[in-house]
Amino acid sequence: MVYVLADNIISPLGDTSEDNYQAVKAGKSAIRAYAPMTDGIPDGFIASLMSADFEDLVFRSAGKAIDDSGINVADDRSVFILSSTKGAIERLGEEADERLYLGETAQRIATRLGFTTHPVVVCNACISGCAAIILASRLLQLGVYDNVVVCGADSPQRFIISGFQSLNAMSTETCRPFDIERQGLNLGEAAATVVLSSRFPSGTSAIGRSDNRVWTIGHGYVKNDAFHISAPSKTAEGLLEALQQTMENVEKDDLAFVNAHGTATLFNDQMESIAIQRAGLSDVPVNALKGYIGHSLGAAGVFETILCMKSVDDHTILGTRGYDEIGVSGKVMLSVEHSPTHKTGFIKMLSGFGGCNATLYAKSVESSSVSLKERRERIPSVFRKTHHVRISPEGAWLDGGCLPVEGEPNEKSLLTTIYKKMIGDYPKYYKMDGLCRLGFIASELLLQTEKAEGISIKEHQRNRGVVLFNRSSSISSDKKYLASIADKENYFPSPSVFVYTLPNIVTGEIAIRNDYHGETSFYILPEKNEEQMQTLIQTAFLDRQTTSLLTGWIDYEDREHYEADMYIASINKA
Amino acid sequence: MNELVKELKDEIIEALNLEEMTADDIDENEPLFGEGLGLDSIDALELIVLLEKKYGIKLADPAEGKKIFTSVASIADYVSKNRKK
Repeated sequence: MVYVLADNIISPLGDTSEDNYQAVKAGKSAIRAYAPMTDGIPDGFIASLMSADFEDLVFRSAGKAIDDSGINVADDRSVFILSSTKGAIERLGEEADERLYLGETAQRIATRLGFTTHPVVVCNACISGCAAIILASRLLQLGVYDNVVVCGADSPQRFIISGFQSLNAMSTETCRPFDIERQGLNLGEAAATVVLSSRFPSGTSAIGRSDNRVWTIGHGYVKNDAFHISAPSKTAEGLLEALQQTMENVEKDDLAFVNAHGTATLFNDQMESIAIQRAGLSDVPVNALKGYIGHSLGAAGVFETILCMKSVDDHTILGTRGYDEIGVSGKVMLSVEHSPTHKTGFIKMLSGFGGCNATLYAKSVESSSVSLKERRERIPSVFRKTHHVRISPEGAWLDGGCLPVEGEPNEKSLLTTIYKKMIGDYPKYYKMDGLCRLGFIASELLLQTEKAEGISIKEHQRNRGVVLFNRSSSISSDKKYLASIADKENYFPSPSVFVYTLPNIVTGEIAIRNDYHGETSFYILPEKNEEQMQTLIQTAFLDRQTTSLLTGWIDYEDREHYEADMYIASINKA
Repeated sequence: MNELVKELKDEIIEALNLEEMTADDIDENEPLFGEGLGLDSIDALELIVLLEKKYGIKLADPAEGKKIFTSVASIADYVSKNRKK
């Protein structure tokens, strides 16, 4: 079992989870209009912001939750997981690039909080918050740690806001999830933290509850649409798969509600409605919280999960602020106004760029019903590594043999030379940024060796995931995007470059190319650490549908500095 | 007009990273989206940026783009009538 020991939310609505919940319950919102030229952004926009310092925000939220939980973070049984899409990116150009790498940022925060283990950053676009809670639960189930502190945060300013504007994704009014007149999202700023533990909280003081109940995180899954890097599947393939698998051991009658992502963009809400209907959940209340708090990106999954827990504790299904008339074709039972419930579980859903989707099941249980016997998940501790590819500016090696290719300086990069000589049938390659080109080429080479053994790509559509690691995030595209907005007189934010400032897009590109619908995850580490990577790879196999992964290290700083070190990891499952 | 069509083809190839194509590969009357070049929704947004950057045309309603971006010929027609630079 995975227990929630403590939580915290810092947002424009307040500095505690309780303040935030009470504000939402009272129908409040901090979403407001910002005038043209705010943060040097020519057009005005609608958002819910605090203009906080990213590191300080994370430190305050995580610190408060840790204090409330009473855990000792200094021992090697505790770890810090940061969920963020862009971290402190708004300081790009003002500080050394390396200081802004998410792994280094997380390491500084973790050290300041007192942790002695290496942190992990979950960087899976908008599903990061749920993906981080799922990762934390799996690490606890495997017994790798006893306590995991998950903090989700993003602080959107000029970089992020201009990017969403360029994608034409922002609403010019307060967002209206699932409504017929919805026209886009509002960005929100927040940090939200949950402290999770495999140890049953001793005494009520640890969790500060008098009703003898405790929250448990059940299980969750991440699945890919394999459809498009920024548009969701019209048939909701990835989300449906995640939902169905999550519902396998859950009684529908236990669900107080399904809390949707509900960004209020045309395509997201429509896709979610299709997933809900196809999963047979049309008679379960559905709500969305973005009309109160905006879309808080890396914080969203944690922020909204906490609000859901608070509302179930309060026997309330929250209404969907901004919603008036149904504007999706899938059959859903929208929770318009707050209503009472005595049910104790809920499903949280998120979807994001890169085609990824996450669903999470959480349930409040009576303390007395908890079995104190620890049950650990059993998975094969060793996975097989087959086929290995390494690519750097010096050359490319496949299963130990050097490939007969060389980069041609000033003309074609090594990657494009490999593409032309050995792949050549995927013009979309040229649209990709450096990180995606590197991941694409490396995965193609691995799969060519597999194909030579007679294994068809189709065999792996449902049971293969893509889990990648790096340290410099998407720094190359980040700089390119910044250049498109740096000059006031020449301000043309590029939507296609902005999409590639999410490093997990590379996992989506590989999934699309091969029609892989399994888990896709992108983790950023302070440095390349094989042991840490092995542990994180093991967690992916706790999704019992997953039997193999394209995985490994993939870092791209610029044309002269990159490294792919990838392989296929497999396990045998009965 | 022919010059503008050629210029647009080159601009589109550069803006959308259609690296292996030359202007001659694009038929100005063929559809840009769906079939034809197989462009997608992000390409459409990038074309909106191109119109603003190169020709000073700001599309207030992105839905307008659908008609304008039918083919290179239709873009050329719109640009010639609405360009500000």
